[in-house]
Amino acid sequence: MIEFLRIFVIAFVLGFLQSFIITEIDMGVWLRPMPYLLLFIITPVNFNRYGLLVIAFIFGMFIDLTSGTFGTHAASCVAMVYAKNFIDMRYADFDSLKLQGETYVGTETKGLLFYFYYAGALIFIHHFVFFMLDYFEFVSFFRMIFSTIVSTIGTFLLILLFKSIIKR
Amino acid sequence: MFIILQWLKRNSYPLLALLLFAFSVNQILRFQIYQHSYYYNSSVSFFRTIDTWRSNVLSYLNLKVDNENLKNENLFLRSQLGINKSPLQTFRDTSYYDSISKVLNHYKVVYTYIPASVIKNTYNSRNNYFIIDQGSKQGIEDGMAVICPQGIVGVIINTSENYARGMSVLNSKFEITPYLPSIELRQGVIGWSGMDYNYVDLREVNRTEQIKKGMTVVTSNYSSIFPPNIPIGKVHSVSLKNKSNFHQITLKLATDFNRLNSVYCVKNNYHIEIDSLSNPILDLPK
Repeated sequence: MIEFLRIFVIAFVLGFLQSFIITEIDMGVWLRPMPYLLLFIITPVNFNRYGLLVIAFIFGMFIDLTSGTFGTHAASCVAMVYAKNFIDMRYADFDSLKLQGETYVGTETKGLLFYFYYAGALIFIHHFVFFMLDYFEFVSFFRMIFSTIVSTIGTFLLILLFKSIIKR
Repeated sequence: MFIILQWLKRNSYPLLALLLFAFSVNQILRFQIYQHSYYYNSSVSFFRTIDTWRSNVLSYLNLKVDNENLKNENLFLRSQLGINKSPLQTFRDTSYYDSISKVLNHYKVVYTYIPASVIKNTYNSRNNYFIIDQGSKQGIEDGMAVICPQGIVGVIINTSENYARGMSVLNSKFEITPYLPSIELRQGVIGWSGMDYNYVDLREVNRTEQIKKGMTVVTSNYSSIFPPNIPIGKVHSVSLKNKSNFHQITLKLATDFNRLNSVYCVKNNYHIEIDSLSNPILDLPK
């Protein structure tokens, strides 16, 4: 219950930040950071996977409603959470996390390099689906890839920043 | 059933993810203007390509019937030209060609014909339509008449760059005034009752008119859309009701909508001029 409440509060704060602050800041054509993805990265590995899928969908829809993108965030969040479940089962090693007294993948439990790959892959998957649905045409493939890479870097840096703030 | 349930249970997680993803994409296609128009245009283009392929295969299968129709049409056109009767061919008088060209210069070209192929055609619905493989780029315009070698087909109602949609005779909104040459009658309205795609009704023909079974019905010269004397069909049955002032006439259509393939779109080059003269404002006293 406490875990669920914690996630709910983080979701509220991140959703508010994304919808009313980050979306409003003009960062150019290529850079569209989405630090709200931190919510899914810090979700416990043993969290109910069906529940997380539904939460991702509802949360994505909420961001869509506030930013006028109608389903783009929801689809990319669902794709990311599905990929997270796959990566968690294969690479996260829940038993070793349990021994360290943690339930989610972080820099302090798995090291910076693993975290870089883990969070980077999830953010990339999210952004790839997001920009694919946003550009929606094959002729803009390279522009879409470029946007994905630039925004992945931006999101990753912002997530590291927010994560350090949450820790404090 | 048990196997299906087992399979659903085993794959419930990816299925839920797929369902949520599909719903999100559906929202994008419904509410985002750019994605919606891109998806709509792509799918229309895709289905038109499929229709063209299907039409190509069907037209190949109907080649024999088409050949027969074209032969008949050629025969009819040759008889209209009267080349075979010309004595000038024997004498080779070159002034003949000059005089012909002079005469032709004084003719008005009232109708322009654009050949097209039908790539989609319905004939089983209450309101039927057809799509042809020619569009505004090729000169097709809304309101043009569509005919085939056998008879009338319909009227163009929507035009895109390379395709056009027509309302066929087999449509509740389609109406045309006929002409019965054997009794020189221009009366009544032809419309489809929606029952059989081979038959249409001829309504509002006065009971005093001598209508007989087998009479040919063609387009009237009063129409500003259709050229005159294009076959519509033949009288199939005539009956009278005691209290009605009109005949109940059924026509067998000349056009076989089941085998519709090659058509001509007909443009009346003077229809704007004719329509402007038909304007009721002109009747008002000045």
